[in-house]
Amino acid sequence: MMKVTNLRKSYGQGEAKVEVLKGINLEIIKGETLALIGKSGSGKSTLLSLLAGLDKADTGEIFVQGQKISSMSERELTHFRAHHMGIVFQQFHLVSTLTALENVLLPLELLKREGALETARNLLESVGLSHRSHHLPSELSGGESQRVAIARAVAIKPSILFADEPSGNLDEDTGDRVMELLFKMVADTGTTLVLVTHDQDLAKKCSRIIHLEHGSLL
Amino acid sequence: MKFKFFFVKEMKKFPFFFLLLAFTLLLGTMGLVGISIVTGQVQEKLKNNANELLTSDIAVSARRELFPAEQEALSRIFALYPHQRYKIIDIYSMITHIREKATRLVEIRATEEQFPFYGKLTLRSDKFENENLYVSKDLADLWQVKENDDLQIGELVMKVKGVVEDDSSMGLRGFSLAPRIYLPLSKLLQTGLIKPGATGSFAHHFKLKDYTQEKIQNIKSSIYREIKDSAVKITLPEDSSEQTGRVINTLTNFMALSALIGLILSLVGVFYLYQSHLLARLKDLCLLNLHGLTKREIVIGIIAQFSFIFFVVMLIELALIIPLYKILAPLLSNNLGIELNGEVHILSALTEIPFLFGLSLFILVPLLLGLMRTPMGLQLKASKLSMGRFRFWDFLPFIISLWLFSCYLSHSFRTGNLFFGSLLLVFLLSTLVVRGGQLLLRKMISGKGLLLPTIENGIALRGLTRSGHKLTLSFLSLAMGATLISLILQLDRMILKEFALDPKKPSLFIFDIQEEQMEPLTQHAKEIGAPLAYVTPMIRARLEKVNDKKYVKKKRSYDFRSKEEDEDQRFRNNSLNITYRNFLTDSEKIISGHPFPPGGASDDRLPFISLEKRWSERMDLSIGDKLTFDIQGVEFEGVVHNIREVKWTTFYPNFFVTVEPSMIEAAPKTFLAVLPSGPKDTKLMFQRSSVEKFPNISFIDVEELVGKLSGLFIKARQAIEVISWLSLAVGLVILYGLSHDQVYRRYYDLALMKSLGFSATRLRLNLLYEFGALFLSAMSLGLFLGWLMAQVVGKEVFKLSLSVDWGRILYPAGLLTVLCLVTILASSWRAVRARPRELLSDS
Amino acid sequence: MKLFIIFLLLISTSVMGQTILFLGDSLTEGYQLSKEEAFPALIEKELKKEHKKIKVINGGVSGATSASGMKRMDWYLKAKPDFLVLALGANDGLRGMKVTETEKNLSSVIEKAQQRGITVILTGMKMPTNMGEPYRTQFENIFPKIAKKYSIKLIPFILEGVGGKPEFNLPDGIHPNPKGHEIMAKTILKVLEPEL
Repeated sequence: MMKVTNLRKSYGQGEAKVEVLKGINLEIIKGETLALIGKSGSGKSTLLSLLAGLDKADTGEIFVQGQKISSMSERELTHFRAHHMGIVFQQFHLVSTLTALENVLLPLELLKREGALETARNLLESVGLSHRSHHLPSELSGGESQRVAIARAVAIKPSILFADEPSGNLDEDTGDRVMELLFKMVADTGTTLVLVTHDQDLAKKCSRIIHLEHGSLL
Repeated sequence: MKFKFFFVKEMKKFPFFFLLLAFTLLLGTMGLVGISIVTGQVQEKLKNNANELLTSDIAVSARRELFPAEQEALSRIFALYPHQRYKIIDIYSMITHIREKATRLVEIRATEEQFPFYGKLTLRSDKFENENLYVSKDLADLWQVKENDDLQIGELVMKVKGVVEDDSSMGLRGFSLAPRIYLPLSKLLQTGLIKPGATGSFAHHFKLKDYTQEKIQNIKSSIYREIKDSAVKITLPEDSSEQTGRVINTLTNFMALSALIGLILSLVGVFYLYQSHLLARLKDLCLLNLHGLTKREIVIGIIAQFSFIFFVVMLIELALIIPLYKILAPLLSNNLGIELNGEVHILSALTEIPFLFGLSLFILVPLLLGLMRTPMGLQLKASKLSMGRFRFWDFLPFIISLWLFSCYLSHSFRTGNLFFGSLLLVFLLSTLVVRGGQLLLRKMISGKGLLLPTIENGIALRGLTRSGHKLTLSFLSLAMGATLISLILQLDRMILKEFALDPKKPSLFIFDIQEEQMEPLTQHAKEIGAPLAYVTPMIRARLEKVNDKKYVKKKRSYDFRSKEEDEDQRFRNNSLNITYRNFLTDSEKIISGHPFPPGGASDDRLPFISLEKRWSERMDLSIGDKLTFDIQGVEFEGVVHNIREVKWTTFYPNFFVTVEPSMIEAAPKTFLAVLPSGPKDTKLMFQRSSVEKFPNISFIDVEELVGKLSGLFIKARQAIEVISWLSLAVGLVILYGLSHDQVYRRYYDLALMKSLGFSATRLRLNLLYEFGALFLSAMSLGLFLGWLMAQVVGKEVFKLSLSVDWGRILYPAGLLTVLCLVTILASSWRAVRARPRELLSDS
Repeated sequence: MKLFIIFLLLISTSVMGQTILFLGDSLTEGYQLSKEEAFPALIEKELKKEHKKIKVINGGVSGATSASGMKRMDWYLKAKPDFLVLALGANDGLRGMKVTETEKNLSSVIEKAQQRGITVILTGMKMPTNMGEPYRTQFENIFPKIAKKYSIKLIPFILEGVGGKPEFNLPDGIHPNPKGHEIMAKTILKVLEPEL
């Protein structure tokens, strides 16, 4: 469902220029859970950002569901992301002025989906947070915030879900529970998952692991 | 070591922030320091001006020579204070222009050596020397007196040495019946005009070597103690300037107010800057704390940084201001109508600095206390850092010092309290409005989805109701900023209206025109090309009864100690000049009651009377009172129908009592008229020919007086306009900064929304709705409250009347709306370029 | 119009007695004093002791010059005065008006009064020394000249014993105080009373 060819990305200029990705080739199959593992500075977040259309590569091509997202304009990318992708960030990143319910509702109402409110309520319930639906992110704990983020990410039933170190900011117990929830939701919906992590144990829970080191796949 | 690291390295690391801080402080304080220098000079100049009008520090005078005992008493009193003195005698006399063989009335001012102590006489050519005879330019022009002409003054014949173009002691002290000549006192005594029975003003003027207010007051008290005769008057400089004083007081008050406003606006900016900065630095501060730097040391470090910046800014200001002032002084002098010297007394600039420093520091207190309350260790564990909350009482030091500073700057507790009190009220009202507004919005969105009707709007509404204290603070800052801008603009307009010039400026007052002369005089004036204006009948009357009870004078004493008492005495003698007319002049306005009905008096009621406000207050009369006048032997009854207010800036004679037409026309009367400003030759021709044709008519030349006052008004207006525009500029800059900061804080939210699929357009719309609503509502409220405040401050401090100037409400509204839009668009331009990539873990 | 009617009504009350009109300026008006303190009222009070039906009209207007005399005379003629004490001219002098003008104006008033059978008494004025010669002399001479011309009684100087004396004047040094007015009343009565 996703094909990446010869992806290169550098940051900085002149002497300070750093080649973060040195020609990545990758194929992701629909429904699979892919762990992208690497040490800090290996380029995994950069790769994720390119795959999720959050940034543009210097060279190379990315196809998602047959569409070449690497040559899309920002507007097209944004539109594409809204319809097909979900993202869960390490720092949760909920819109601070929306309640838990409204955060989940956001992507649904953006696409003007029918029964959005109902869907959002159900999703919140499925992550065990119905009782917190009217709370603002500032009133939620880390784990709760991340669960809301997961609910939001899967709300539109995206074809592909990107998770960038989702348990990175959580304690072990909470992290485990959050990951369990994520895996379950992905399994229930058959969503393709690309998970960036440095945690080997967590990576093992995925169907495939790929290693990234110094900007190249091992 | 740690401290030094913190202090120095911090500043090196964030040059932009500290530069911005310095700039904001500079903007806010420059106005104040600059204005305090100018105000200091203006006030000194006013004092000098007043001194110039009197020509000395204190004058002791009477309408007769002082008795030997009185002179002795004066010498005794003044012996205690090193001083200089001279005598001035002012008398009217008939002198003869020998060449022209013409005799006319002049006012003789006979002076001694050293005259004048203050001010100067400017001659057409040459310098004024106290041993010669000089004539005023009025006399020279009217009577064609030239240098070296012989004038017979009493028994003496003297040659005219020169023509006085400008006498700084003249012009603002009232009208003179005749043009002036200047003689040495010794010569006057030789004329034989000063014999027993002579009437005039005999004044002894003194200038103290080391002047202090206290000394003068002591001297005054001593004189009153030793010289009991009420015929002997003491005049101080402040007694001699009237309208100038009022104009200049208005100007300085306005300048002080706008400087204060500029300062407050910039302090709001400082608060915001520091809040953003500290929040951005919080993580590092927590780390420093973790490594051993105590919170106290951090706070002291911040105070040290701020103090350093503040004093650097002050130094720059003083370094800038001094040369700038030297360059601008002539321009300012021109604009303010006051001669300012380019010298800056550092001291006058320095007195403000401790206050400014205190105020600026106090605005940071809530932030610093918040920092002290921050559990720094815990912060490092938190996913999102936040500073300890500040409490309301954290702002108390700032509030109290602002109050004190307002009083200090306005030199009056009343004005300071008024300004500060109304500002506080504005603040409280704004808080109520924002909280109320939020409550309303919350009710609106409760239980509803995000599409209201669009998602951008839905998110915007939530942003408005859920941003907590941040939003409240932003709203309040914006509202206060807009209030202050609106206040300045409204006041500016109100004051300008007050200083609106009479389009028909008078150059000659003509009075004692007999009824039968009115027609021929009018005709004559028209023929000469000098048509008359303000032709007004004048009838002498005495107030006999009020509501059928005999009118009794309240107090009787001939102790004319002050101008007001003098006026009071005149008022209490119930004779006055009244007129009849059915219209209001340009400088009049009815403030209570109704205008006279058309058609004049009618048989079914008592005739209507209109009273001037001040006079009615002095005489304790009000609408509905029945007044009985004795009009030259005949009783006339009328009822007070309205009270009029007469502009104090008017140059036209003011009648305290006007009666509606068809009642008193038959009574004997004279007329007065005005020759409006026009070509000088026409005026001279008219005066000369009228004196011939109508020898009983009297003329008072007011051209110079009117010119001086008009000039002053014009310049005051210009100064006020300039100041208000400057304040507006400062306000707009600050508001822009605040607004920009507000929008920019949403950077991460915007990045997130972008990552979730919001297009740039949607993001902009979201910003537009949220911040548009916030800014526009804050600014609209501010505009309205500013207008309200202007009415209060205007009335109580500047004695202006209520006004609604839609232009002055709408154009800043338009300006601020444009500012809003520009801010939102400019900030959003950056913000919508937010890279969602930055949301990722390694960013 | 209304004023005329009131005037006519007032006249009717004075039909039986004698009416004395004082036509003057601030000295007559009693500048800064109440009506009762000015010399016309004082004269009335004094005369009433002997002559019950005396009525005095205070026709003093501060600042009036002799030019206003005629018009004001017309006004007061309605009251049918029997006597006229003419006390105008001081303001003419203080304003430096030509003495011929003053003379002309005063003469017109006297002629009009005499035409109506009114007994005229003229008060003389003097200018303060600061006004200078020859003006002072010229001014002072107006009054005896007119008095002679029209064969009327003259009070040589209305401010005799008052002018220039601080104790009888207000602090402005020009206008008499109540004590000054008492003296003025006596001065005038000396000439007026025998005429009644």
